[in-house]
Amino acid sequence: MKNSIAKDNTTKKISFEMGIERLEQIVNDLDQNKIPLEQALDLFQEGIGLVKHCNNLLDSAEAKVKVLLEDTDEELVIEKLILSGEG
Amino acid sequence: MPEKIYSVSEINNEINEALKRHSQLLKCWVTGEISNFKEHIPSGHWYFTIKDENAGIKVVMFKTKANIAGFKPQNGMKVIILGNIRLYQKDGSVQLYADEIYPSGVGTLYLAFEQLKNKLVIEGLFASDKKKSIPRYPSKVAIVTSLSGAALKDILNIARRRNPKISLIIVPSAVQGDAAPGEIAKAIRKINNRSDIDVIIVGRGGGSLEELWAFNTEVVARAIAKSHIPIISAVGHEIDFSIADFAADLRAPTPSAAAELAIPLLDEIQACISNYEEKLNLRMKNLLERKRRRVEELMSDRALVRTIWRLEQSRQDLDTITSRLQECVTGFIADRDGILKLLCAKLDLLSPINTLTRGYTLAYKRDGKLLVSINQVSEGDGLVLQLSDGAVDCEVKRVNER
Repeated sequence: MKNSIAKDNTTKKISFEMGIERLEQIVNDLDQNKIPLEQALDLFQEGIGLVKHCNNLLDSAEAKVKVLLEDTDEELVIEKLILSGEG
Repeated sequence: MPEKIYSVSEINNEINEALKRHSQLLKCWVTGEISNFKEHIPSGHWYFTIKDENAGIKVVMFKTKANIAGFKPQNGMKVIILGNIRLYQKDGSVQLYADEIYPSGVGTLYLAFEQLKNKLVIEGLFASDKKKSIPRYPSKVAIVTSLSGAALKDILNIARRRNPKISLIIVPSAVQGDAAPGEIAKAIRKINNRSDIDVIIVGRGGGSLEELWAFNTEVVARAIAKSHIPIISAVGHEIDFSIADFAADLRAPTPSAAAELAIPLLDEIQACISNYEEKLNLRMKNLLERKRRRVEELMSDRALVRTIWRLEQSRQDLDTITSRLQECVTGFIADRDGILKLLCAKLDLLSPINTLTRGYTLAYKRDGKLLVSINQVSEGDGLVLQLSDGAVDCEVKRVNER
């Protein structure tokens, strides 16, 4: 139980890209014949956790369009950009 | 007698003063063809002559001016020079001291482009090993372009359509005019100060070569090359390459294309995850099946079967041996039994009891000693006579010696 909590904490820091990379690795590892059953089960559990994590990352992503203001680091959130086109 | 006799220094001074009085000589444009071009090493100053069909004038361009020329003059090249005419007092020659130099006629920009490109290629600024890979799953994309441009509109539209989960940070910058190169470079540096941006799109929509010029400047090329965040360039035309394109990690033919390259489709990402989920389940299932099959295989494995068979054989051997042992023991016992019986018979034959049945008698004294001589007894002694079926107590009446 303690172990799984620790795992959850580390999972939270994993970026989407890292998650996908690790998933790829896990899937490849599971394809190996020599992998011990116990390790395979651990990997599988980790993989399922990553799938959940990546889905969560997507679900919780709150995308915004912002304009970085000149000479400051302030950001201006644009709800609806009205743009007049030229050039 | 002449009015005044000048020394060389004095007359040169006079000439110099005369030249200074003509303001049109202090800032004048001169055009001509370059010859005798020399770049002095190590000073870096340029010395050459420009001439037309009938005349020539020496030109000096000092390093500080030469550095910002934007191109390197070559013999035979037609140029326009802005500078001032002064006397070089050491040898009395009147020279054009150049402040600015431009190749004249068509292809000025093209020439500057080629020269900058060659310079940066030699420097290794465009080297393919310096290219960073574009992240496949960015969460924040920065866009350096003009707020009023069509490019931004295109990028925003495509970004929203492809993936509404990805944040966009717009860093406004002029994309044409004198301020543009500096602003673009500054915007790129500003984004690099942040840690949350995964990829940068730098660009603008199509325009004339002059309008796109900012993207052919050294300052922009260097800012792009220096960025540690991957950059996709998206400058105007589909066909023409800009210096920025060469410096960027990836070149998109248009701003729309840049958005497509930078922003992965949400559907595809979701499909990718469920694909992994499926793969995980499948691989795990396969793995378990393989392990199970292996166990079955092992159970029917020859070695194991042989072992089991050997075990059974051993068991059989054991049975055989056991029964043989039993037989032996029985035989042994039977044999011994026979011998015993024989010996018993022999013993029987030798047994005095047996002799007694034939009519013999054993005589014992009262103390149990067997009588074998007359010397052992005296008259009146008690004797026990042992017969085959019992004993008789007697008394000695007389002893007769034979």
